[in-house]
Amino acid sequence: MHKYFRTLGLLVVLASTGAMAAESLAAETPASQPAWAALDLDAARALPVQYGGRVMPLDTLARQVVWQVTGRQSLQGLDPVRLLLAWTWQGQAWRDQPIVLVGAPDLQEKIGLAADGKRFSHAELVANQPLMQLMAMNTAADGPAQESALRRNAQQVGARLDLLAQAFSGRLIRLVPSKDAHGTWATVDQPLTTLTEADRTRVKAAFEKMRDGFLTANPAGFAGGAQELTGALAQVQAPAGVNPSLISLEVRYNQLRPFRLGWVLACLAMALGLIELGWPKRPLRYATWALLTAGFVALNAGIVMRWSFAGHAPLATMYESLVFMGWGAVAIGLVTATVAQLRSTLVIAAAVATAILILADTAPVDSVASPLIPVLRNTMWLTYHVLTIMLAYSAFALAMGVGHVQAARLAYRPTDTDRAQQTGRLLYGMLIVGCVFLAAGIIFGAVWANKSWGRYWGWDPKETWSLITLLGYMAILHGRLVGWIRSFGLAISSIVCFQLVVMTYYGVNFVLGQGRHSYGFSSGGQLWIGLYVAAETAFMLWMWAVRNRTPKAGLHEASSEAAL
Amino acid sequence: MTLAIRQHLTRLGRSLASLRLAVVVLGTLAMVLAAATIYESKYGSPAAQRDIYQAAWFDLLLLLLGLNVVASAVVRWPWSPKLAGFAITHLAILMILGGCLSTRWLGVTGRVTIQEGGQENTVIQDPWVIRAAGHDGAALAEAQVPIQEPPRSPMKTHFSLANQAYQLEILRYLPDVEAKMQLVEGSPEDPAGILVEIQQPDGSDPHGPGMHGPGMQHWLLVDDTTRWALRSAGFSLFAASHYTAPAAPTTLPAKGTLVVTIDGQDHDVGVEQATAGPVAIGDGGTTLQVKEYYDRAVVMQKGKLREDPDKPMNPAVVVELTHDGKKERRTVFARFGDIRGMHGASGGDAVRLSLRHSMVADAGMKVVLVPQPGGWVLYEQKDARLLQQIPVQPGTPVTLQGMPVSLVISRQMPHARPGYLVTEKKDGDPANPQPAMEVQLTGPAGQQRDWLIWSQPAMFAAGKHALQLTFQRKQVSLPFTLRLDRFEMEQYPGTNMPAMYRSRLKVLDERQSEQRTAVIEMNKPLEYDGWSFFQSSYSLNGRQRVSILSASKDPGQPIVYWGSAMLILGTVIIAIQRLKAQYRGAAKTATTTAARVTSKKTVGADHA
Repeated sequence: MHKYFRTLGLLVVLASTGAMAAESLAAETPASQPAWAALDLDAARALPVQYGGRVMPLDTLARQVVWQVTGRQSLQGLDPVRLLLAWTWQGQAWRDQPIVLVGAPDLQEKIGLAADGKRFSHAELVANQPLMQLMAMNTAADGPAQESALRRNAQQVGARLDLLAQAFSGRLIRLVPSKDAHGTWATVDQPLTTLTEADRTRVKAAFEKMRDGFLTANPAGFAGGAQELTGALAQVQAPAGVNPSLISLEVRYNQLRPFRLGWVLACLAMALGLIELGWPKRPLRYATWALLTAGFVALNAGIVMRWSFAGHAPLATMYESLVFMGWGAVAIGLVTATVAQLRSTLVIAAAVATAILILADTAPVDSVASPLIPVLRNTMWLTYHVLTIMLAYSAFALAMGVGHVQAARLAYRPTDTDRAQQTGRLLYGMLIVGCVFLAAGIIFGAVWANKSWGRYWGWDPKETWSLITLLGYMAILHGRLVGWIRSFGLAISSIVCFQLVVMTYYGVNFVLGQGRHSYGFSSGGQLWIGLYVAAETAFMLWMWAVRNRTPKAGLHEASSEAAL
Repeated sequence: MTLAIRQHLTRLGRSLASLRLAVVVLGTLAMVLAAATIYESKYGSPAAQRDIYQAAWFDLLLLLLGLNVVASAVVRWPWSPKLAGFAITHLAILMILGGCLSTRWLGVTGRVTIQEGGQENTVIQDPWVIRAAGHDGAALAEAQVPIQEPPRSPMKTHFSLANQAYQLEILRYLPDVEAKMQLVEGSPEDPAGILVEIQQPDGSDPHGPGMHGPGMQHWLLVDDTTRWALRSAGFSLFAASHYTAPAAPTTLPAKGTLVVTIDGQDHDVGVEQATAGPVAIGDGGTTLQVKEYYDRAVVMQKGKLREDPDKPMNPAVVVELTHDGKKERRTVFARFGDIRGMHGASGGDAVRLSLRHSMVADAGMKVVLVPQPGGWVLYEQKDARLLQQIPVQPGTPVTLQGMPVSLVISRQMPHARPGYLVTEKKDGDPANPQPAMEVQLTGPAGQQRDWLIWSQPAMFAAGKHALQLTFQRKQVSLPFTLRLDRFEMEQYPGTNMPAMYRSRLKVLDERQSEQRTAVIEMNKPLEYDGWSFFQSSYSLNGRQRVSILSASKDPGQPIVYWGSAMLILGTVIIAIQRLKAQYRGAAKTATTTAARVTSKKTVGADHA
């Protein structure tokens, strides 16, 4: 019986992660590639440009612009840099291509666009009168929620159109520093720049050579032009604080995608670990260890890289904190697996980390490394606070994972008390670790709040919910001491309480949308979170039903650790 | 008997100390808080703060948690070293709870709003109060009466000011109102007031250019010729206790006379005399000099005047007034009075100026209504000539002879004073409401009922001296003053994304010989004299930048900080103890599995 379930579970996990992996890795195959699709981009990628408040390689700019305009990481299988250059130099040809994301069926119906399409052409959208009218309306104005959602969507489309128009006009590629350190950089064509006449001629010539090489698909001309441009700009960009090694580091980060690499390795570790559970072989176990450790190394490398080129700890956005949550799950998992006797510890850690990192990679949250808003600057508490909170969430996520295993074990194999005890210990340990980190994280947050807002506690929804989460877990731990909660109860509670974490982490920002932690506010994803909660509820009910069917004898364990 | 009580107490202590209670309280608190956040997202933060977080029952819940923590620690006395983690953690929770209470009871938090170049020593707090201020002969006294937000009504509170006891009753509260100044029923010593409607028989605009629209109503108060009168170019309408016939074309000097009113005392100064040089007025050190004079003044940009021979008579002077050691420029029009704020200065009310000019005094139309027993008498005068003098009954129109309009007294009050006409606004801007409450102040010398409009001072006569009541937020004065030299906003290069907000300040402290220079940035507060100031927000007042700082003085903070440090220490100790116990337990299991399984089965059977 249990063997059958284990195999089934393995298959489901493998199939679903495989499908998600395939979806996020796959690129659309192009129908027919233009001539410039084969040009070597290496030199062009590393051109430093100013965008979004900082200096970044052209590669990052292109990724951001393509993501913002199309809602995809690449289009027709083309590299974002190639796309951006094509938009800049072949604007006319792209005006009629369906590349601008609308993706809101309500809006499409309202403004008379085909309901089944997701992307439309710049020309078609700009000519759409109802859309332009909606864009001009004030989102803040009162009215039915549906109306304001329409307007908000319309304004998002407007922002995409504006960005694309800037790309078409060449205004996005700003290569020439301004005199003033806080000023706006200029494009090569703009007359007012810091360049001397000789430099100007050189820069212009190199830029034109690059353009002509691109348009005529001449590899030597394009790559040569890009190199000459880099050389010509180096002298003026260096005084403006451009560090070429950080720029190339960022290019490498973009190419390597260390966080994606991290979950791929964790996912492989999980698969191997599952196989090892059914077919225990020492080399397999070592390989599992090695893969998860490699994943951890990749995550660390990614964090260090991102920290270096962004100039601040990557803990400021939802994406970055999710990455840290995955990192924490791997870190705690690796440490725990050396101590815990439960063989499946490593697999559970790998599974939980994979799920979190895939979520970070595929969820529609902004993965851009952007400058910090003022309230997050000048302070180390950002790092302390977010890091400890994320470690707490990692531990609770692991506890939730272990809770599933434990609930299933107690339901289906009530006689295997040894295993159940091992799992129970692991679960309890995770809960304790999580509570320590959460308590510390809340306190660090309070200290920071006192430093930046002038009060350490103000019942802000985020503060309140993190306290609710802590109280929830404390209630479980104390309930366990009283004897109200036993092994099965602890397993179920670890799943129930994780819903509190989800509420604190996601719900406050995306559902309540109130309070001072406003830098994380957004919307969307309600459906997925709803499905998750529903699935967990179904799982718990199922386990409960199965457990209640089996004879009671032998189920109860003495909570021997209960006495203080 | 005592034994029984002791037993009861012991039982009570045990149940207070019980873990079961702990679980129940933790769970209840979690659920209450969850409900509170939903309440907050529905009704807003102030409502949640008032109804839940600041409510007494919530305090009781926290108190129960505190008692539980205390009791659970007490019953385990004496503590063995094993209980170190437990003791530290529970003591830490108590310290945090206690610190929070001292923050709430003793702490002050609020906002300080300073304009660039300006200075401020007032901290505006969140709670609502009614501020009562008044003179007790010489000294200025002040009281802040706390008011619930929103106030319950009817509600009575008491306060005393300058050794006099007052009762303040809130009769009605409206969350958002439209308040219009008009005349309301006054007390017996107040003069009479009327509402006059100007009607046009032929439908044309009766007032001529520059006047208000047709069919308008106007409140007139007897002997008030400025605020509660109608004055415009070539036409004036007011009520007076008696009518003085026009003097022979005038004795006023060519450029007119300035009437300077200081503390209710009028002083006449000839414009020509004051043009030559500063003229002393009264004996309080006030001087006045006329800088500019115009016959036909036209107002240009930035309040500058210009002479325009094509425009109608509009005599005006620009004066430099020195009063109380402060110098300010004011513009005074013969037709419109003293125009305040034309030079950006917020000229006080201590000195009022008006210009009497021969060309304006008796030129044009003048209609005066004089109360008589049983009615009113209307005097109509044009260019210093009396056209008609007829009795008027309220409700009966009187046709004017010098103008194609008629007047009707539509309402009259035997005793009137300025007050608010308050109407509730249902569809106002929710972000910027104008709350108001109707109050009745009872003092040793009578009572007065009136509206208090948010942040607008109102005078009340119920004591020996008049009181000024203001419905506003609670305010505290700092023992020092902050001056804002500069407010800086930095943007990330090439964008309008804010990068930093910064206030450059000076701390002016009379107790210190040196001025302290300070810079407040996000996450870099200024600490001074027990107070902390944080960059909170900013606003733009025209071209002026206004920095909004939050201020706090919090004696509970160190307690909370120490408690927090101990909490972290305690939980870490407990965690290590527990994890170690687990590890040991695990080691034991390996050897004694069989025995344990058997014993567990017995326990299980017991429970079943």
